[in-house]
Amino acid sequence: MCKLHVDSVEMTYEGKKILQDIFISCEKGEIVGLLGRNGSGKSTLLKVIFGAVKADFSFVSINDKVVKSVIKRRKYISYLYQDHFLPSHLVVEKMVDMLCDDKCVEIVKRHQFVAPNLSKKARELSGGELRLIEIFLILYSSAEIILLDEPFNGVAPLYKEEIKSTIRNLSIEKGIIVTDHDYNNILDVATKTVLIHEGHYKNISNREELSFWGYLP
Amino acid sequence: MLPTLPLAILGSAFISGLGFYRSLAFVYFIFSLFMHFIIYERRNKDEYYFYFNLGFSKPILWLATFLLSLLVSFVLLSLKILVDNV
Repeated sequence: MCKLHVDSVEMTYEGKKILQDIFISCEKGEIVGLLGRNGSGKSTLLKVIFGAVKADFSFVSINDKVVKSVIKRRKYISYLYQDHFLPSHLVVEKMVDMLCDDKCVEIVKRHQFVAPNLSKKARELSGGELRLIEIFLILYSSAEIILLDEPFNGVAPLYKEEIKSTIRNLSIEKGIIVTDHDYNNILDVATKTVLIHEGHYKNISNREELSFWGYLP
Repeated sequence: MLPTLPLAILGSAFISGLGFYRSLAFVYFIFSLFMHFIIYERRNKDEYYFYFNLGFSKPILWLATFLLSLLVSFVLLSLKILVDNV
């Protein structure tokens, strides 16, 4: 079982309410696409769920158990930060061993994007190579819930398809929440789409609703 | 931890009255906390997310730096006792 339930998220930043009464859930087999304009609070919401940012109020339960402790929460959740986050001095192979699930270490090490760079340090990789490795390290971690903040950012179109395919394949065993500025990527991969509009949560079932809420022209 | 040592040796040269090993242990302890602050709180803030994904929190990482620095400082003080006894 793997089921994330996030409720009543309230967050104020510099006196402005950026998240109000947000509800989001995700379980095994689901890919939840999170959309919103720049500065709408998508990344903040993911950080609140992961426990890296403290909200004014939030309720997070995993597998029907309330998880208040950030350390316990991180046993269940992995988070792909929107910028490069791998320590520049560490070798890729070492990071695969540290972050990936034991069953997946060999899969990741043999992966076409990872294998040629195994012996390199993070600082020796290009931005695109680094992003691909970061994505695979997080996707193949032992966590049951994966939060991906702009995974397609800075990645070549050819590789985007490979990432989407991996997300779809891994969603059989995991729940995945993904956000991106290009809504086409989200609509392409998500099984459920939500929009954050003026701090509130809206369920989206078609493109017309994105226009209705002012996300699309 | 190791890159801090040459800096601490250099810094300890400016402290007089404590003796070489004592001032080195003191300067090393202060410098390593300072280096943690500069590297992780200023230059490479985003790298925290790697450690967060491993299940560590910021207070735990600071505590680890504090304890390791303390340990190295004690080793340096022990060296003084060892040298004095030889």
